[in-house]
Amino acid sequence: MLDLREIFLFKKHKYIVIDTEACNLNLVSRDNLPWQISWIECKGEEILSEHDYFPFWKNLKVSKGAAIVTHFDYYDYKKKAIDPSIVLDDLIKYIENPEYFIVWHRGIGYDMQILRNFYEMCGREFPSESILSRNIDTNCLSKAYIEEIAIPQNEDFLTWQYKLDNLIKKGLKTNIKRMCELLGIPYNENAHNAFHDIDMCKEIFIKLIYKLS
Amino acid sequence: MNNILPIFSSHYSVGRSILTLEDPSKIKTDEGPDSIFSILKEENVNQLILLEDNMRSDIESFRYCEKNNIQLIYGVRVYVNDLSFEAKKDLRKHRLCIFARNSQGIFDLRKLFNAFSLKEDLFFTSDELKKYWTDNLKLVIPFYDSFLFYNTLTFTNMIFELDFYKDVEFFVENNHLEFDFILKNMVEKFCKNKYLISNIKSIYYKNKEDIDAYLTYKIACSRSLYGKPKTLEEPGIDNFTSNEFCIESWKEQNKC
Repeated sequence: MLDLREIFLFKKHKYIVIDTEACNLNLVSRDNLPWQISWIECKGEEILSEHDYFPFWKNLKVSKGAAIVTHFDYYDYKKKAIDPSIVLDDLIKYIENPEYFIVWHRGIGYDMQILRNFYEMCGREFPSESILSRNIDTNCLSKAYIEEIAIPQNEDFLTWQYKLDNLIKKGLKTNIKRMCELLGIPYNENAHNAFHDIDMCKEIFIKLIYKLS
Repeated sequence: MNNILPIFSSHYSVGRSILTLEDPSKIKTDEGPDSIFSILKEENVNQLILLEDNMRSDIESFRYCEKNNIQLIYGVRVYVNDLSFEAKKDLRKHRLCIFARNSQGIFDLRKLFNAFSLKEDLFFTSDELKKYWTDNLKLVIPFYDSFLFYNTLTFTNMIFELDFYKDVEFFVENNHLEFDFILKNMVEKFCKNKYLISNIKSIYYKNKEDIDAYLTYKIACSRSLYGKPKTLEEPGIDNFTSNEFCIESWKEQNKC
């Protein structure tokens, strides 16, 4: 079983906190591509590097709903957008590096698929098993915290996260805003901008490590 | 991975498949839904394994298969729940597949399924299932929604007594769902030296590009008067992340 304290408190491992903004919520569509990918490289509480990219897709179709929630502005996007292969080359250095844990909010249920589409669109095979084995989903940790479910000692950490991901209960809200309220973290009103979300996700992760350990 | 069994479901399994059982000789246009029999013809397959959610397709499939020398293996999905009354409130039930071993098995299957479809909550208890069981039936544990699936990926702890049944078989699939490998490991661990494992591919549409048609159908079937309307951009269907439940994927995986 993974000891979360090892990552943060004892600073044994580096980790990245990553988030994506994509076109819609259809996870089976291969056209659902990330138009923003942001991540920070961390060790303990310290941020070692920051990365904020806008991969350029010619036929990007952001749904109305997603555009409203994420404040998507096509002209702003077009100004900042760069060749997706440059983004992927940088991302691979971190996400495929076994030294890094991958921290994200709803990574299992959402970002994994978006990154898979990103990899496929760039003509690369997505290393899902490797990524999953190092993944720490703060959405799952949040559910464990709210439902007072202890981290089991004899169970695989990934399987335990899947159980939490599939835990759906009326009134059980674990979005970033709710978790910031619960954990006393200042909520950035620019939420659903991947670069701002990762900061809050990191704070949620750190607080939850203390609470769950 | 070799010898992956293609297991079809037809449109009679409402909400699950968009494939029909139309006779290919009667299809006059390329448009519209694909027929399972056309697919079998194209792929030169002389065996049809049909696994349905009900038994409405048995006569239609039997007639065509008999006329065209296709071996038909017919099965249905049923649900079992052995939890206490309190736990039943959440209606969590696990799925089993039951196949007919022979011609008599079809009649036994019909008898069993009639009893199942009369159940108010649409699930058997283990005892009820045993009551209708005969040696002409074969029990198969599916890859998804089985008791192993729920025990592995949810906090449910389901127990199902397998010793009563002869030659129980477990299905394993690879549909590129992120948790497939976790589940596969669990099935292999559970079955080690005890139960047979078969590699299969569930087929609900013809090609990967048919996923939008399939998703549209799923959305239409799960529509509700209440709540947020479902759309292709926000389908709201759990774990719907794979377009691999098709004959195209079966062909790719069979080549490997």
